[in-house]
Order: sequence, then C-alpha cells, then structure tokens
Amino acid sequence: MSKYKFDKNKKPLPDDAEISKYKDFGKLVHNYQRATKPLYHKPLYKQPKVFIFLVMIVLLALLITHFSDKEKEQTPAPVEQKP
Amino acid sequence: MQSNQPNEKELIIAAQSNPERFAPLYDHWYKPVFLFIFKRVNDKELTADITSQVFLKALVAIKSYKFKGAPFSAWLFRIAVNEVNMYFRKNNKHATLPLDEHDLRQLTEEVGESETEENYSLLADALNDLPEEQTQLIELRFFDKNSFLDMAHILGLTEAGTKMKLYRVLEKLKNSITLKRLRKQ
Repeated sequence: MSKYKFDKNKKPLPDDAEISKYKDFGKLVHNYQRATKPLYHKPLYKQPKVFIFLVMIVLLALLITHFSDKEKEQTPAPVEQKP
Repeated sequence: MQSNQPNEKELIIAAQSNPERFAPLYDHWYKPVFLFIFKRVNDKELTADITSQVFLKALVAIKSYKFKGAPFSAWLFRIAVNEVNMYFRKNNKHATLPLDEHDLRQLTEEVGESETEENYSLLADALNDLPEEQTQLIELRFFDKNSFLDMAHILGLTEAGTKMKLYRVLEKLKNSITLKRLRKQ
C-alpha cells in the first residue's frame, strides 16, 4: 500500500535509455530455466549443498556405529550364575 | 493499453511452445510494465526487480494462457498488480508517491473540485484514506489512463461493475475532501 503526496516538482519518469539498462532477456530465460528445471535433472550428489549433506550423514552414521561398538566392548559380559 | 500488434496471438502461441520465442513480447511490453510498476513504487532498482519477477511469472505461466478475448497486456498488468501488492504486504512497507498537477487534474475535475494546489493536496490526502482495492481503481483510471474495459480485464471484473465501483470511490473521495476542508477551517 502506498501513500500519496502532492508534489509540484515531481521528478520525470525514467526515460527509454534508463529503462533499457534493466532489460535483459538472456537473464529472464536463465531464471526461467532455473525455475522450471526439476531437481532430478542434475544428480543429487553433483549439487554442493546436497553433497555436503550426504557426507555429513555418512560421517554421522560411522561415528554412531564406532561409538556403539566401543560401548559394547567396554560393557562386561554378563556372568552366568550357577543354580 | 490495447495491443496494436496484429500478430500478438501468433507470438503467444510461439512462446507457449518455446520460451526463447517470448522475446518479442518481452521487448514490446517491458517499458509499459516497467513504468506501470515505477508509478507504484517510485524506485528504479526495485521496479527493475519486480518487473523481472513479473516477466518470469508470465513466462512460466504462458503455457496455460488462454485466449478469452482480453488483451495479453491485461494479463501481464494483472500479474504486475499482484506482484506490487505482494511486495508491499511481504515487506510491510509503503512507498510515498508524488503526484503532480498533471496526475491530479482529471481526478480533481471528476470529484467536482476546482484546480487549485490546496485541492490537489486535499485530494492526495483523501486518497491515502482509501483501502487498497479502491486506490487501485483510481490508479488504473486516472494515473495509468486506462479505459473501463482494460480496467475490467486487469481486475477480472465486468465493465459495468468496474464503472459502478469507481463511481462509488469518487463519491467517497468527494465526501472525504469536504470533511477534510471543514476540519481545516
């Protein structure tokens, strides 16, 4: 929502040259391709963010396995009690 | 705002099958859309950003564009109106838009006031009290100089409905100006 005010000395509208500076059809097509290209067209592992995320998951899984193995080793085996 | 291009339909059909062929439509309508948005935001960089969003949305949606008798420009300007409104709502901002005698002359006449600087200021103040939907009608008619039919196409209303709504807004403006003048005295 905009507010209006009366201003006798209103600046003129931008001219053709100024407007043309912003015109870029190549950029529009590029943005269109980015907006419409489905994710799966590029393998997930080739996208840096997704790649880092996958590496983090693998590392986390390795760490969890490593520590749970260590815990198992440290816990004494239950001694069988003779009746 | 009516399109003068004889082959606009062919251009649209071509763009629907290949986005690269949207270029002639982009070239033709870039300046009118830019100025339409600039009049509402009064900032060149912001206008350029919103204009590129408008054309991106138009290019994405052109495949589903249907020829219903309304000009292509009306469809494009409707996207522009929505983008500008969305920008202000999302950012919780407002722009201060200057209006000069040229902008206000016809509107002043329409509300039955004489063309004085005091009346122009009163009118600009009165416009600020209107809700968004009603200001939009004034903008389209008096600042963008659209016909009622073009306004109807942009707003998705009938021509008669648009006239009726605008008439009510003008009545409201008349009353608002009278009240403001009384308060000043």
